[in-house]
Amino acid sequence: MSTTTTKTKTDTIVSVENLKTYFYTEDGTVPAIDGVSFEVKRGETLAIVGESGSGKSVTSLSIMRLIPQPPGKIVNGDIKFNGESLLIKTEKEMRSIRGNRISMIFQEPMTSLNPVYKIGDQISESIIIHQKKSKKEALAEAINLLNLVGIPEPERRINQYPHELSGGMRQRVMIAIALACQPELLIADEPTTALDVTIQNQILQLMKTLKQKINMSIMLITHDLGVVAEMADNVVVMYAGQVVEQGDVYTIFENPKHPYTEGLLKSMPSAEKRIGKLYAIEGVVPNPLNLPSGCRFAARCEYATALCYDEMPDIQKIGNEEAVRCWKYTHRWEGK
Amino acid sequence: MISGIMDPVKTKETVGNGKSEVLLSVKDLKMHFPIKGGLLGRTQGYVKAVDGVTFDIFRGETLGLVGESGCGKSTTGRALLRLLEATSGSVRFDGKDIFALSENDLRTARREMQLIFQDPFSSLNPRLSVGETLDRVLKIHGLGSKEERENRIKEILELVGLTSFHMRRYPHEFSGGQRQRIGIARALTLNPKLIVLDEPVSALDVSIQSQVVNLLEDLQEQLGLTYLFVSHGLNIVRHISDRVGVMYLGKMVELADSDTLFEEPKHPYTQALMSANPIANPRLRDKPKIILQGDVPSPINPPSGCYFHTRCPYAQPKCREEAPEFVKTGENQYVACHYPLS
Amino acid sequence: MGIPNPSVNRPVALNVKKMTGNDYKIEGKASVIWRRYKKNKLAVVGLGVFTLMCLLAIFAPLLTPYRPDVYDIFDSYYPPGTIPESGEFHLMGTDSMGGDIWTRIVFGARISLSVALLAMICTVSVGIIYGAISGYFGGWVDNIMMRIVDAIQSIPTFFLLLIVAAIITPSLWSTVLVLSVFGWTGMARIVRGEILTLKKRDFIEAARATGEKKSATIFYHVLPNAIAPITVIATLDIASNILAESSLSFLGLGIQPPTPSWGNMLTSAQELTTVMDYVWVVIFPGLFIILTVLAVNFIGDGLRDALDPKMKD
Repeated sequence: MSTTTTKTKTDTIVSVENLKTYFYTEDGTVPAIDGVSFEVKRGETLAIVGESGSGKSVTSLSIMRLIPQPPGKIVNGDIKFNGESLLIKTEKEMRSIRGNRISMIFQEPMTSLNPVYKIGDQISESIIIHQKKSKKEALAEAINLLNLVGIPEPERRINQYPHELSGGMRQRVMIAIALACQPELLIADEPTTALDVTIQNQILQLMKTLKQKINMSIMLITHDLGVVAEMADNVVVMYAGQVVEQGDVYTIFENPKHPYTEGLLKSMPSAEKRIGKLYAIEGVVPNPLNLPSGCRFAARCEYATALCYDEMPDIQKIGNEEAVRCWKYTHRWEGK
Repeated sequence: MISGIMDPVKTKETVGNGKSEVLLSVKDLKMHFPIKGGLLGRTQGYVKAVDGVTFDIFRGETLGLVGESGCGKSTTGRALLRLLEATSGSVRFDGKDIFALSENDLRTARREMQLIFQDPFSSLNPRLSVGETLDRVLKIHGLGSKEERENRIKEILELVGLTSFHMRRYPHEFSGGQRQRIGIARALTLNPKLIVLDEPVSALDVSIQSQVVNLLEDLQEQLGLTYLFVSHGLNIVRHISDRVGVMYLGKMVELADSDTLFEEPKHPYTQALMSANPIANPRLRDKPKIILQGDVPSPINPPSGCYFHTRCPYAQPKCREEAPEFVKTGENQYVACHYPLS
Repeated sequence: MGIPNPSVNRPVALNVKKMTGNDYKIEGKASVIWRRYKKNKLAVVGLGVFTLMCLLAIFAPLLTPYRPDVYDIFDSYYPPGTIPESGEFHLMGTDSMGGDIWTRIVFGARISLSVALLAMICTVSVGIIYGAISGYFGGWVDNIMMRIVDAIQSIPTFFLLLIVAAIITPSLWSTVLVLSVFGWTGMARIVRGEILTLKKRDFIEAARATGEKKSATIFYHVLPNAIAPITVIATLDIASNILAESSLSFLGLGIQPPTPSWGNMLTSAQELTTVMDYVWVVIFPGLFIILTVLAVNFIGDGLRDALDPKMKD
């Protein structure tokens, strides 16, 4: 118990080790995450990039231990938070971590706020629970937080209900709630996808400044490479439940190794100049109920050889920080 | 009988610098939705979703329409197809006054102007197979015998990258990208001249988006289509459009050639929008950005003068009092601003 | 390990394989629905029981040596079995008038089921048309039409049924009429609600955009999508009609003896002594009512799933 209340500090805040989260559905087993490993360092922003069904959101829910069970289950691997395994914690211990040391913001700010409670009450709730402050102190803190996230007239806002705020304002409130206990890690699951560009920009800048102010780490889950380029220090690219590539943001954008990462970057229309045809990755993601035995991207990959269809490549380190799951970077590669 | 809708594989008309023959002309289009309230449902005010929009679409071009949610871009698309009855204004399409057509003539006119939706899951009737969906469209207009219709459907499905095997499948059996192809097929069945595309790729995954964008471009080239491409995704709009219009609070603030608009925006809002658009290059992340303060005002009670003055970094006293006209400022460039940027 | 030939070996993603094979065969809609329906075992049992009830009703005269309207007062309240004096066999015993209960049940099935089905047909047709008009046109039309429904629903129906039944001479047709007049509002509400949600779906706008007429939009695009809730409500209506008929007849305001119905067979249960001493008189008709109502509810359940195109095969 004492270990959870004293905040032990390490360089690595979260390390996910060979995590497997499966969903057991009527139609069969869905390996939503299938052997995923990565680390979040203190003070860094790690972006997890992937399309729908890549397992990026399930990863964050697994860290929060919020996987609905059944049908979901973490079947293998470990998640360590400051060196302690989260998987062996009791539900009560998890509750003291969630919203306190690890916070989360979601894509849809309307549905993540409770419509029947005032903004002020929703922010002060977690302060009261986790920091054992009085209601009055907590409300004062809530006003500070609203100030911090750039909401004008916070004294008036705390008495308003979610429906009285615009989408951008709601997302700010969500961030205020997430920051209430000065978490060490903020998990942001598509935080700006539902917002317009000008508002998205406000929120991204806000997250950047806040990160520095309270020295937290951010795990940013998104499909938007523009947002990744804007925010991330390091990037994990996921495809069909696996990490296919990870590295620092400059390497990923300038020298992508995995054909999927390469394809994603090539298929983005440029904001700077008008090009001819867009590059398109042909085909669709494999059916999670019926995954190929070889590389999961092989069917859509322009470099694929028989080896790719027959055997799944392992993820392996290239250089210091970079890793890729592709046969192209092994001695067994004989293709073009 | 059916041949009229079968044959024309036109080439894109290129006149001079681009396209110059006006296919659709929108003049001072207004769409005000009444807000009903109280026990008797009396009108208490209006949401001015579209508030005086004027533009032309040339034959064979793609006109992009961008703006943030609530700016009226989708409403404009629907109003000019008369899927919503506009409050005022006029739309001329290929010589016809769309707003003056009788219900019957309008149904005939709709063969030539079609709509593609954002959400590929709600835009297809879940009870109809793909074949039935397309067949229905031909049947409504009494086109072709059973066999001719079937051939046409097969032809269209292949055109959008599906096969005739898909005819008897139901929408839920397809992925999002495939469903969007079905939606495109439905719009093409009657061989339209103009297609309004309402955020056609916004709901799709990144890797599928480019497939659909390429398909749309191929189809335009093969069939000589004209597109009104409504989207909030600036990069996609820049990629696909010949010209782009920017809307803010129900008004068009700028309209120009795609390159001109993106490279030399004249309206402060366009500039801010471009600046806010995240660039997929981490080395440019520290480039200074124009961050607009506050939110878009309510379209029920828009600000006085220029609607943008409440958020405009360059606003002057005049902007608060007087609404700017939408005027030509350069070749193919129109701006509604008292103090356009240079 | 074969010779590498990726273009041939490429596994086809998602469902495409299933869709392009030569073994592809076209399956009719009815057979698809039946295949899905079969998966719900209770629904199959329900359908079996209900079919049996209908068969009993149809072949009633062949199933019993007795007539439903001929009594033998000396044989009243005989428990199930053979009467020693006359040697007559009564499978389910006899009632207060000496009528054979089995006979009255099979003939009663004719009446009870006809009333339930006829009333259902009336409520469903009125409800669908009313709800569709109200939902599709919306605005003040909808407002007025729904306030009328509110008004009807705010009347304590059963008392009104009693009053109406008391005013008009009770008969099969009057019972059907009474059940129909007050039974359609539920269906109207459901259909309206479905249409209001369907109307907002893009494919309805798409239909308009392709030039579909308003009326055709309702019948071709809207109503077929509401078929699942409509069917479920319709089957549940049968069940509630059986119960309502029973209740009316039980109170003597529905089907009049000597014509047998499951409801009026229960009339004798109004006296406690009957229930205590001659339990078979009420238990058999009661059992048939329960069985039929349950069966119909199970059918409704099965249909809801079978009619959903999103259900997996």
